[in-house]
Amino acid sequence: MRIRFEPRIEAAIKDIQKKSNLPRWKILLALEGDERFKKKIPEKIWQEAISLVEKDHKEPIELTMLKARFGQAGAIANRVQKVHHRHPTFLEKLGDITVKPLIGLPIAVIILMGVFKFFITAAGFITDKIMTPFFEGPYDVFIHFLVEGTFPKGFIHDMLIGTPGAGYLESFGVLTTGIFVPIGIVLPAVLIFYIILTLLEDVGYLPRLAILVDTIFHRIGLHGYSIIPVILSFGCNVPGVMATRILTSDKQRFMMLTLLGISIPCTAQTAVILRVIGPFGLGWVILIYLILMTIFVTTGSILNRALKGTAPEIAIEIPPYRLPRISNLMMKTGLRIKQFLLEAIPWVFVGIILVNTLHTLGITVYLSRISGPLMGRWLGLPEEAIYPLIIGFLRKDVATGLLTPLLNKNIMNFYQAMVAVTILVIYFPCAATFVVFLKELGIKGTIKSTFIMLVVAFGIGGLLHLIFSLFAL
Amino acid sequence: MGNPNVGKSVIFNRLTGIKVIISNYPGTTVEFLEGSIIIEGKKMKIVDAPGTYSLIPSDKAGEAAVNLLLKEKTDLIINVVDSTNLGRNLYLTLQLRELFIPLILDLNMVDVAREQGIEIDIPALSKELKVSVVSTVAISGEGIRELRKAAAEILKRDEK
Repeated sequence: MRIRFEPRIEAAIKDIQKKSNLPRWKILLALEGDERFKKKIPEKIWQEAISLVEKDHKEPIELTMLKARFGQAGAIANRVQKVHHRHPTFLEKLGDITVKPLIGLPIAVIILMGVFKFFITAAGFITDKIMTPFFEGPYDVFIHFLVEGTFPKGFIHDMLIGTPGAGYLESFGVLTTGIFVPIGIVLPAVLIFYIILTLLEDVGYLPRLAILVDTIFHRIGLHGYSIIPVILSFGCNVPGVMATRILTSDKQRFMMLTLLGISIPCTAQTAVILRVIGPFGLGWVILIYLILMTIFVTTGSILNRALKGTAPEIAIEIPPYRLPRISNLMMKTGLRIKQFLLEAIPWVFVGIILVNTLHTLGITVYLSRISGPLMGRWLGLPEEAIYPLIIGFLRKDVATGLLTPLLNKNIMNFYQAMVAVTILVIYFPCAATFVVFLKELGIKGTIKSTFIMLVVAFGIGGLLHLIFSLFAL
Repeated sequence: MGNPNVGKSVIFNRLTGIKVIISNYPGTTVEFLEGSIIIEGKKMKIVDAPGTYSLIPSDKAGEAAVNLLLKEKTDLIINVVDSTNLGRNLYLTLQLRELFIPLILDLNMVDVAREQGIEIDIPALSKELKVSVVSTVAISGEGIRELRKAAAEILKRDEK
């Protein structure tokens, strides 16, 4: 039993069916605009069959089919459902209010500011009051006992617990910094971030935020829904990159991915930035974010003009506000934490082992020397800054952490650290993100995207150095 | 299969016990998730497809859903629809039922529909479309047993 279309369309379907021997459903999909099936029908047969319908309706056949199907669907729905009128509920009223720019925008600003404040306070609390005392207390005693019992000194000793006397962020041993950075600093931030994100998601606030930012995103050729990959990327770029599949055109996906790589720091990185730059004042951290936002918008509009391709509009569906369920919140946060631990810790270890090996073999000295001119003249950074830049290819949190010893030993001053942090955010996604980039964009797209990132990173780095040396130094 | 944000992942989670990320906005699932389900003692593969409004997809996630349907041998489609938005959701249903693949229509979120004063006559809808229709509230688990039963019946019938 199938649902019939109007006689002219049915005649066209029969006509094609007779001449091409395709089953009805393939013909229907072809008429509705499926290119794969359309190709199977010879052009002449196709034209002959549909010309009458198109002439009759004065529109492409796809549109006629669309209207017909919607008509059928609507008619059936009306026949089987009864709708009783009633007053809108509180949640529905709230749902309407929060997308109106005049009220919605201030609410959005308040929510986002509240979220940021809560994020740094809660994550900072866990790190300072729980993690640090634990790592510097019982954990430290235990690990020293364990390692020094077996390897009193030498390469393996240094590899495992790092430089004696240095703090947990600077010693660069696998078991000291390698555990402290992901668990002590990043994990609390990841945990708090994902609890907040999950709440906002489940309540249904994110799509409303998408509508509010739609105007801004439109300027750069993306639509409001692009806010979702952006927000996910603040957690971790990997799911953010995956979420770009909801965008409609290749151009939009390429732009979005490049922008994510350039200007969105993940939680791991944010946490370490707060550790390194935070003590100099929160204003500096906010300045980094403002710089990144500016880059996002400028690069976006440049790419939008420079790239070929379309940026179609879409209609956004807004889900209703729903009360979040604790069980879903816990399950989802748990899943995300697990993903983080599985993805991050191995790379942190690889990063730290690499730093130690390069250092022991003396390769870093060589690298420092050849990169010296670029680092020094253009970016105003000391030769040693090449370390974090290399490790930044693997893990951004470890790389940013590497700046601490440079700051503490006065090899680098605060302004140089600002330049280095900003470049680290921009110049290259971490190894895990790079893999999903390859998957989503292919080799050619990834190279193109990476090139743009490098240009922007060193451009902005040079500019910052120039500004700092004019006004601050 | 079904439109975005109708609760496909919750149904998948209920049927298989596999934990998946579920959010209140369209586009949470962009990749396929495969799981297995035991119906009447027989192990079957079940796939959670990304949401799509139509078999003529407009984005990559929807395209993937359609490709899967056309490539793999499918015994049964569970078409999850949002009961509060029946008219728009039935669009895909109408396309799906042309495919000669057995179909179950799952009216999800009937609790929300009830709250909004929407009453759906299930027998009438089943008669109109000539497919089995069940209603569920996926997040609380209501109706999942009936959905399993309906799936088992169809699969058994087709084996004969």
